[in-house]
Amino acid sequence: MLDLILILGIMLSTAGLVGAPFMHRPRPCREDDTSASLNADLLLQKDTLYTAIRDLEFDFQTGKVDQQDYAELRQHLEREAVHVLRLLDALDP
Amino acid sequence: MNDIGAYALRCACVVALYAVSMALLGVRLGRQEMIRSAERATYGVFGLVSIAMLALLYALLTHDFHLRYVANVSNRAMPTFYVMAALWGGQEGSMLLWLWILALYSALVVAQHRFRSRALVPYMMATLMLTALLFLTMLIIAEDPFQRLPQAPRDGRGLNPLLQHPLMVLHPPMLYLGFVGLTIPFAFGIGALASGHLDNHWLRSVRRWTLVPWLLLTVGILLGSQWAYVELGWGGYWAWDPVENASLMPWLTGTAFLHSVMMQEKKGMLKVWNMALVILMYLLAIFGTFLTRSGVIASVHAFAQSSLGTYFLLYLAGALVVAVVLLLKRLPQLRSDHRLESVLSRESSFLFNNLFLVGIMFVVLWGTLFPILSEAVRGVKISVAAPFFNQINVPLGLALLFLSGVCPLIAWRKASPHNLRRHFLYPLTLAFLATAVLYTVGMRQIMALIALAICLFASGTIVLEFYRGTRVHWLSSRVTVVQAFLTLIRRNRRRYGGYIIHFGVVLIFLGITGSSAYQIEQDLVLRPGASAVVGTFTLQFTQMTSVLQPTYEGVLATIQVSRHGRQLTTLYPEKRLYFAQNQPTTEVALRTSLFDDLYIILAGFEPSGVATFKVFVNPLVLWLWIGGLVIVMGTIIVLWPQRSAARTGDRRAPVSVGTVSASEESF
Repeated sequence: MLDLILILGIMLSTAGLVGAPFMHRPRPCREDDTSASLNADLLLQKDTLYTAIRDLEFDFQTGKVDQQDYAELRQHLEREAVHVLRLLDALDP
Repeated sequence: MNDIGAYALRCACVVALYAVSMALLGVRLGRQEMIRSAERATYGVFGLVSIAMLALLYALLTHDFHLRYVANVSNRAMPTFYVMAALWGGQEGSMLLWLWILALYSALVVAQHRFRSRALVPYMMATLMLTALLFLTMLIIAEDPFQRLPQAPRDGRGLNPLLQHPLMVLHPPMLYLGFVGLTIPFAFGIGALASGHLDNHWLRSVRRWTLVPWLLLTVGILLGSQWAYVELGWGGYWAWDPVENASLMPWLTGTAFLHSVMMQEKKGMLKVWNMALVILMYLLAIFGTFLTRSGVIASVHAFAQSSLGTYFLLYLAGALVVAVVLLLKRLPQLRSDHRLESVLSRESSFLFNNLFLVGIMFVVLWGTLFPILSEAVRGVKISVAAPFFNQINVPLGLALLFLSGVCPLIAWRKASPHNLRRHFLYPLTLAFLATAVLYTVGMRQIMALIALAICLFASGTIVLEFYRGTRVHWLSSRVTVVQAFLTLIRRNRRRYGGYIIHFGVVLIFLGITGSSAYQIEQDLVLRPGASAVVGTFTLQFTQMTSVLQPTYEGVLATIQVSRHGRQLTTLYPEKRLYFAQNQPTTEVALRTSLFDDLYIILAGFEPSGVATFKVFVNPLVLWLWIGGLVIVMGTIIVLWPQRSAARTGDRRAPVSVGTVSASEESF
């Protein structure tokens, strides 16, 4: 008898748990917003570029990258980083 | 309580099916409440499977032998510790553990993504719950842990004595945590492919979700090797057994992915390859589970013959088709952003690293499947033994180790001959000089010398990396050398944690080289009081003693061990007969040190007192386990959270390129 009550309890709790979202108006997700998603993408790009610049600097200082390659790559990465920062500014002036 | 467990499993099956349907319908109809309901259903599945686990544990602890499973894997004489471990000691229980871990991971990953990567979440849930459904179906139809016996026996048969070992209590959960964890990257991959959100967001999450299972799988594999070493009594720790191979294959693929994912993160390259690796990891994890549980292969680690094979094969075929179709559909979006500019670059070293790792994986797969394929084609089961695996995998493994030394010192994009000379001069000189010394002192095995030279070269490059990084920090800031060293690791956890992992791998190679190339094996027949010399050890067999315990009886030999006239220790190799299972076992006597292991097995004995021993001297084995600990330490450093602008949402976080910092390279 106790088993039966427990089983019924488990089934009812599960039904309540999965059915609850239909009872309330669902909260909108933060990332449903296109601009929030774009913002996150740009932040990720910025993070990746900053990391790449730091890595390049470190590789240069430890002698893994030649002066010429370093200057060329650094310029390229900085240009990309500036572009991403401008896009971020445009998103939220 | 048993009925509750059985009902909880059935209920979980319905809820998992509901989660799959709601997740896919929700995304198709654009109904958020359906997706939220599917999320809650995922939590529900975790709750229900947890109830089933607790019910089975309760049945084991209360010795409820009405349950066939409890009667098969436990008895009243077993210590509580092993009664609890019996939860995963049999086929049904271990599958329930597999399912519970999957449900736990699923709940965690869904909770973690309540507000991010929302486009991927429905597909991820559907993938995870479909995998859960496979195991639920098998547990309900074919391998029910709650199946009742018509009449309960007075006592159970007890757990296989070989499994009654502390390492066996830890090894299966660790291995499953790793195996099952590889489902999560696959779910992410399917989510990205199905939703078309193939940017680097999913990759960031998936890297961590691969690293954690990879670590647990590494620990699981090493614990299993240690168990085989101390419990199976054949003198070794790895036999290329199909079940061992089954755990190694996803590990190799995961290792390849953890390296190649950096190419995508940094260079936007290898996108298709990475997706293929994620798919392969999952399929190999399921395939490994199939190998262990279907009974298609004979192994000391495998479970008995069962009807599970069909379920696994059908599911594997379905998963493969869906994944490949999705991958082909998204091929145009997965084009590389950059091309390989030079063979002498870090990119190409990563590429070769991946080719070697996947090459080893395919060799292992071929060798594992060969008995099955030969039986299917020619009607004769031909097993592939260790020499096949060693012949191909040893050179590939050494090439891989060499690359682990090359990779850190080589620049991205292209390396100049001047750079190569500057960076490789010291490590290569160290390796050549040390090898020459080893050759001079009498080491003549070419493969072992090559292996040791590569170990030294790789260690040298790692040390050099730490030295150069510390030096740059030390020169650019007014701190002590120790502070500079610690700051270097703290600021660049991924890179330097990765190097520590590489050093752990070097130690493992050192252990493998020593124990395989310089192992001494000797059979001894001794009367009480007699002595024999094995390697540098002198063994004196003093007496044989009978042992009687509640669960077994046995004989125990006493051996005094000395070296160069100095007493070192006393060892007690033993033979036991377990009453409940009527199963004989051999208990290894082991004396371990940093230089070598003395490993003694009591092979037989006569009423006259004469005993036969099998003795091994295994050099450097301890370094294998130490290497494992170093890998764990390195991975924890890599996994330790590091602030990033994207994660913190700090849009204008400055980049301190002046004060040098590097990151995001190794792992």
